[in-house]
Amino acid sequence: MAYSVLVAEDEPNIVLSLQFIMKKAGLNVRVAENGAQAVREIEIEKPDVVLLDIMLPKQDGFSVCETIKSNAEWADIKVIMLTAKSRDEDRQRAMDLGADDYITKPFSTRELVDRVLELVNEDRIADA
Amino acid sequence: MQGGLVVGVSFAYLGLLFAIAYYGERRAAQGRSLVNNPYIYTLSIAVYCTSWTFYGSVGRAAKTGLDFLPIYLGPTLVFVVWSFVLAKIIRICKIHRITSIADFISTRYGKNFALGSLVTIIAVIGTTPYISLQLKSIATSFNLIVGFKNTDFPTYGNPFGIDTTLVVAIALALFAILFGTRHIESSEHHEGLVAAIAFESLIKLFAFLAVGFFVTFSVFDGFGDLFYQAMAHGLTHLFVVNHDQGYGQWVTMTILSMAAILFLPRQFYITAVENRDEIQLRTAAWLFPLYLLVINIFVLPIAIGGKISFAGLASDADMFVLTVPLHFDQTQLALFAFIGGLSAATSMVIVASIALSTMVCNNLVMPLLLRWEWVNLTERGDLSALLLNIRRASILIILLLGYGYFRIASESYSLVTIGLVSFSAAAQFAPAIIGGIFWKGGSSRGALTGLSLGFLVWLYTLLLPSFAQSGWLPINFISDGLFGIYSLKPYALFGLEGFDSLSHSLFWSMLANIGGYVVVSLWGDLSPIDRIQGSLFVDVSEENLGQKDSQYWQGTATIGSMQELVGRFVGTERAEKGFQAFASDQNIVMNENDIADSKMLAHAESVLSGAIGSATARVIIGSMIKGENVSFNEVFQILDETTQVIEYSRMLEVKSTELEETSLKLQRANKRLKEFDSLKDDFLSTISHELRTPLTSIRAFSEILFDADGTTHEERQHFLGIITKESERLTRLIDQILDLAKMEAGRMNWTMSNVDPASTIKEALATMDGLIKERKIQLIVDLSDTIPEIRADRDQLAQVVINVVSNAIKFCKHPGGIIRVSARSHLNGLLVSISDNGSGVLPEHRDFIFEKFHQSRQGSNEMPVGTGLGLAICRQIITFFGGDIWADNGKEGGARITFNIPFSSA
Amino acid sequence: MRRTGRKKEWTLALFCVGILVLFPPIVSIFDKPVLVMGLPIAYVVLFGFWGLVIAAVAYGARRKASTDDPGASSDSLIDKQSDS
Repeated sequence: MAYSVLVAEDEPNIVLSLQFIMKKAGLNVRVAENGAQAVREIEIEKPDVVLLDIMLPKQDGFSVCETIKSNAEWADIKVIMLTAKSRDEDRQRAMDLGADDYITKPFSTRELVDRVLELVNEDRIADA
Repeated sequence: MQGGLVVGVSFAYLGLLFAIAYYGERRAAQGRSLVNNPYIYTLSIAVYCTSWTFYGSVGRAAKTGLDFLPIYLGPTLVFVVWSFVLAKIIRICKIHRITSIADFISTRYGKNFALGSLVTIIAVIGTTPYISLQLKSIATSFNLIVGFKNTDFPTYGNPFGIDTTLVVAIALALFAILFGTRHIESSEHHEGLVAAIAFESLIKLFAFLAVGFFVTFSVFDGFGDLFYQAMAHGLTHLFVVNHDQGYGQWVTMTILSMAAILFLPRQFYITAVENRDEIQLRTAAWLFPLYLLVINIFVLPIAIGGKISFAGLASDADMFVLTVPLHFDQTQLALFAFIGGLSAATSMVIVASIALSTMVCNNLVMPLLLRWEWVNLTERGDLSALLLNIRRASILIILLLGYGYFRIASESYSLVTIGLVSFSAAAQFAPAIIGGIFWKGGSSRGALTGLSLGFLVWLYTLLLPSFAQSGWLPINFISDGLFGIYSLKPYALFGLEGFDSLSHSLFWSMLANIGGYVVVSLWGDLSPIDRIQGSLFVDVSEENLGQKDSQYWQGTATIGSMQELVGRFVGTERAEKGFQAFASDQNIVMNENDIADSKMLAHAESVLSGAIGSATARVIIGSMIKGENVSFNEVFQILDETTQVIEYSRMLEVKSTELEETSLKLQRANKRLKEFDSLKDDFLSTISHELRTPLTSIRAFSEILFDADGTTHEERQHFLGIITKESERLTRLIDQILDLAKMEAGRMNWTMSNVDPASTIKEALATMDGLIKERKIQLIVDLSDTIPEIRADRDQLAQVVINVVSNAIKFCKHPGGIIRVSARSHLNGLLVSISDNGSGVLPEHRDFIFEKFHQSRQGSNEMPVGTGLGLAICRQIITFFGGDIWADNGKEGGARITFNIPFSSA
Repeated sequence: MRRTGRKKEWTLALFCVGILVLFPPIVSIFDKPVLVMGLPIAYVVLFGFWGLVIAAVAYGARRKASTDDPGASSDSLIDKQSDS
């Protein structure tokens, strides 16, 4: 069974590129254009990984991350912050909220794919 | 009566005085003070009662009745308020080791030499008539008692064959010299002197009372009979203060005597300087007025007795105290009365001359000698002999001055009139002293001015006329005024008439004195030393006691050299005693080679002050500290330096306050800088975010294309198109950031000219034509033809239109978008509105949309993505053109952005 | 007897009364050449008033009972606010 990835991003071109990359890596991809939609998508079906922008309309990435990590059922969802905010305090805040990784834009597509696979495999080893 | 007998008794009396003085000093040396009790102190204050009281009051009463009394009522009133005038003066004298009234005034006003010497000169000149009064009374009474031939007709003999008054003057001078200047005291107290003066006060009281009892109860049958007889003899005009004139002189004399009891040099000396213990004032406060009351009870009876006894005969009423007993053959009583009069006169002369000689020496001669370098004073060995000789000479000169005044003026005046001239002089000290102890604002220049003016007026309105009346100056000086100028008549200055000469003089001199003192004091700034001394004097209290004012001294003199220095002035033995007493007081072991600390220096200064006055002592200690061969001119600057240090520290205080303010300002500036810094940080972070977003797409698609596998041709085309668009967006963004930065920093190159708005707007719209058509938007343009030119940069104005229209395209309805552009004149400017039919701007965003990087995410996805800087740039440009830009919603609900720009002619 | 603690005021009041009685116009009231009980009225009034003033000063200047020993020089003469 393929792992599923939720991309929460409002920049259409970035969404397009991420969709392409994730599909190519064999992952199922869903998209949310804003924070609120991202939470709704998770409620519908729990993804394995969320790629989360911070500057999202309606509910920002920090808040979404907090919602995920503070929910016991969702806590095992891997959250990767994918953002143009490069300041240390933003990274620190994300990690404090329980994010599993923090990748700044522009990112290397290969590294991003590797990191996503690494996280889901970790999970599998832990499950085994 | 035998002249020899009288002379013999007189000298025996003076010998007795001497013995008492000697005994008093021995007791003091043994530490069993004879005079340290309130009763002796009170009696010594009674030196106030001189021949004036003893002889003169009776003379006055025989002529004008009770108006001799103000001279005693005034002091009584002053002693009513003893607790805050006298006690304060005494406290100050103790703290500052004051030696005389001149010392007091000069110390109060910054240890000022000029002031001290002026006070000394006024005191000497002012006291001269008073001394002459005593000489006159002694000589007259002596001549009278020796030459009294028969009971019917008193005449004056001349037993010496020469001028008796001169003999008396010289004899008294010698006596005063023996009395007061045998050695220099290291303290300002003269115990022997005080003992003798107190004894004299007893003698004169008893003598006067004896004559009074004799007249009242022996010549007459008690008071009732005496006054009844007086009525019978038509003497009722003596029963009253005044029967025809007003009370002007009565009031004047009361005021003068109030000043006199405090400020006559000898009264100041005996009351304040010689005071042993403040507590004695409690007794003196009522006992001294009581003494005055008692000695005055019989003045009127004796006067009436004399008038009745010598009715119809030529007689000197001033001498009734002697002539009435003689008239009734009471020679022993007369002799006792003569001794009483002698005691009254000698006590005054002795105390006055000693007080004055101290002032002359300490405040006039010594400071001058110290200033004259050629005298080289400090290099000399024992200076105490020099000090003593200066004082001795002063005493002799003062008495000869008194004699001189007697020769010139006394003969034509009564005793009381002469005395009042002196009282008026003493009153001149009142403003400087009373002001000095109650008002911190009094300055040395003010005191100097007031004293000088008051003294000159006194000289002109009282002393000089007395010379004129005696024929030593032309009499028309009085009748016609100086140089014949009518308004300068000394008894009617500036045409002020209708007053007796005394009241007239008091009015003008006090007006000049108080006026000068107050006005000049208020005029300039107080010098620091004036300020210090002012607060030391005004705020004197228990706490200050024992705390000297020389705490500023610091230096390198050894204790040994300091002791030697003091010894040169007060004698080696006394200096040693004084220093040892200080050491045991302070519980320290003295080593001659130790450096004297500031306490020791202050002690040395105070010991010296007791001998030579505070101003001089300060200079001498200063010279010691500064080194051996420093000129005294430099030494005199020490005082100035001290004041400079104080001034400097005051300035430092000001500076430190300024510093505090500056650091507060710095803190505020720093806080603002931090705020700016965080703003800048936010700005950079936002720019970075905005730049990274297109870069992310570019990089991601580039990598996808690089890997190439698994992509269709269409996909590759699509991705390349995205890369191109995102690159354009990036370029636009960078351009706009740079433009905005330039505008904000004021470094934009504007090419300002007169621009026709309508054509510019049309051109700008033309560049957007393709996009508008592509998106099927209906553009409605409404440009008025008659819009005047505006002052602007044409390209930038076009940029504003493009930015706003781009915004409208992005947000208008899709499909079926409508954009309206209108431009017209409004007031004195161009008004441009661009509205769309989109969803409009929320009211809370209307200001916000002009901020940098504010982006609405509600636009169409097919539009080139905005940078978030367009409207911010528009605002910069419009503001630069002097206009405004704002947003609201149009009639159709869409957003409307409007801006205005003033016309160039405006 | 009780001390009021306001000696300064009493002192000044006494001083003012002294000035008032001795200065015109009050002085002129009794300043007449008339005998009262064989004595001139001005003579009697002036000396009598004088004596009263002295008595008042003596009363005011008495020491506190507690410090009546002669060596009590610490009894401050200036600014006596706390006489009680």
